[in-house]
Amino acid sequence: MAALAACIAAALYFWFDPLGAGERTSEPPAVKPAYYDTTPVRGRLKTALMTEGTPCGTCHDSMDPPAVDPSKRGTFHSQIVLRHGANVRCFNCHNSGKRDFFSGFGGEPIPYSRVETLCAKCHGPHYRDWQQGAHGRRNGYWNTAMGERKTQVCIVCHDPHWPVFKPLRAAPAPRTLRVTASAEEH
Amino acid sequence: MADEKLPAGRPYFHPEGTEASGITRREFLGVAAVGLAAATAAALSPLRQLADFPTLEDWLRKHYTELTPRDKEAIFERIRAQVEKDYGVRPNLTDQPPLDGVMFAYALNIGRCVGCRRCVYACVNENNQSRDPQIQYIRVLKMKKGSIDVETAEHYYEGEVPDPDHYYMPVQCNQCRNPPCVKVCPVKATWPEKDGVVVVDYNWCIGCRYCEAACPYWARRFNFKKPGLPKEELNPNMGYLSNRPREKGVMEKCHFCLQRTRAGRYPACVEVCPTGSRKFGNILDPDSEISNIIRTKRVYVLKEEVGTNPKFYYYFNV
Ligand code: HEC
Ligand code: HEC
Ligand code: HEC
Ligand code: HEC
Repeated sequence: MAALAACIAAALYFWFDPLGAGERTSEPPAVKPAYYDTTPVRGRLKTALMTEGTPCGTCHDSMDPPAVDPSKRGTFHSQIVLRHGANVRCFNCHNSGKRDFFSGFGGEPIPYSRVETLCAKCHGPHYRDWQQGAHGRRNGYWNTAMGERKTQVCIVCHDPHWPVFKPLRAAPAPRTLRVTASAEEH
Repeated sequence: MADEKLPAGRPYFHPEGTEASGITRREFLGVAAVGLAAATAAALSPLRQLADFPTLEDWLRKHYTELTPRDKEAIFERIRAQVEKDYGVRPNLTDQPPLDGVMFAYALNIGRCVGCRRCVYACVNENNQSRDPQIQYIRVLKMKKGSIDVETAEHYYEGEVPDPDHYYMPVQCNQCRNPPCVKVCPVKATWPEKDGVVVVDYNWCIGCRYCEAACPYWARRFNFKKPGLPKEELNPNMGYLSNRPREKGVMEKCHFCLQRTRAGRYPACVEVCPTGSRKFGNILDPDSEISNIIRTKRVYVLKEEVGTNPKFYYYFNV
């Protein structure tokens, strides 16, 4: 009798599928594109050094560089907040005479397209790691014979004026079975 | 699944409280046989839901490694038709062979990872995992700085990251050189390819889950239900051994995005990582970033003592 009851119970069980192992009824949830957006944290690199769309030279080429104390920055660019450790002078990086450029060790101009060599002045080990691919980020093709590999430059991740990597909001936690020892599911 | 209970079915055609009375052995056996047949039919009832019962060719086919190019093409064509039927798009299903002179390896900088989980979702989006029930290949563990106890790690943190006195360690398939999951598979449905990637043939897998139990990295995932994947989110660029849609009852796991990496591209998780913590490449090429990292950084592997010899390395900044 017990066997019969078990058979019938099993039949009912498999037929009505109480645990819902069979077909779903609703559309599965979508994954938000923001969770897999590949844009670097500071967006794409600009084409040239400029502020609010104006190249620096537009104003500065006709202005004299400050003859006085180079640590004075005036008030015009007050939106620039410099929190770069002991690196507190604008002209450690910017070129005083050619304002559209950065400044190398000897004051030689560094173009915007080679901004990583500016950072290399003071961050040698990071620059070396970046060149070898251990620091920073590479996109596209690992196999350069099959396609183009793009090495992301420092300033798409680090704000040069306030370079610490800013906190991010984590994408949602998993809803899968818990695996910790304390969990009762699984 | 310990709390799984059968519904208490009471055989309602019995006279109340007279279980053994008034019924002959012969009648009993007759009824029992019918009952058993009904139970068997119902147990097979998931087959009701199979839109297409596997064809004879599918049942009789050979193991992947013994298939001729023509056999493969026939199988791929059936899969394409099935995907088109289920998802309404004709997929670009390929089966790229391993590249010569290439052995894939992976490195992850745990001094950089901030635990943002972009990799988790980039992977899900690329590899057509089930959204519901949720299947994810990457699990990010949050741990107190100074500790390295994966058992007490936090998996379910939310909000802003990184948390100052914590670090984050994403875990996925370690692509072991000595993979226990492959050893325990009773039907050889999973094996290491020439480029070092351990793959699963979803058509060959019988769903016994031995591999899941054997894996020391908790990297294998089982499809308990029919995968739930919205039609619009299907990635139509798919590989036979990688991200083609799976069925209920098969195992799956990270395969280094073979459909991308064998075409020379970075895996989806490397492509998305905003901190640049994830590194991938050919370990046989001395100039690749992966070779450089192994040469110049302090690298370690997870659970070295179990002898799996992973190709997934963790490294520090110095
Ligand atoms: C709209 C005109 C304008 C543009 C464009 C402009 N600046 Fe200036 N900048 C000024 C003025 C005006 C001052 C003087 C501020 C003061 O004395 O308050 C100044 C001051 C500075 C200073 C402080 C030192 C000094 O020379 O007095 C720096 C550094 C500087 N600018 C850098 C830049 C850089 C780099 C760019 C391009 C990204 C740029 N500026 C674009 C108008 C401009
Ligand atoms: C660490 C080197 C460094 C220092 C120091 C530095 N800058 Fe910059 N600055 C840069 C770089 C690199 C860029 C280009 C940023 C970009 O395009 O994303 C830039 C861009 C700018 C811009 C244009 C971008 C904008 O947001 O408008 C202005 C203006 C500017 N700097 C002003 C200054 C001033 C004023 C100082 C001194 C207070 C200063 N910078 C100090 C490296 C530096
Ligand atoms: C003139 C030298 C100099 C240049 C040029 C320079 N830095 Fe720095 N940087 C410093 C110093 C000094 C510190 C502070 C180190 C410390 O506090 O330990 C620093 C710190 C940093 C930090 C760590 C910030 C933190 O708070 O943890 C980052 C990231 C950084 N720099 C990125 C850059 C990038 C990107 C560039 C190029 C755009 C750059 N730096 C150019 C001198 C420089
Ligand atoms: C893919 C983004 C990315 C790029 C590109 C990148 N960095 Fe970083 N960098 C980071 C992250 C993430 C950290 C860790 C920040 C943290 O832990 O808060 C970091 C940290 C640093 C630090 C602080 C010291 C340390 O090791 O934590 C320096 C200095 C630095 N980077 C310099 C550079 C320079 C120079 C370049 C370009 C040659 C560069 N970075 C390119 C993401 C990047």
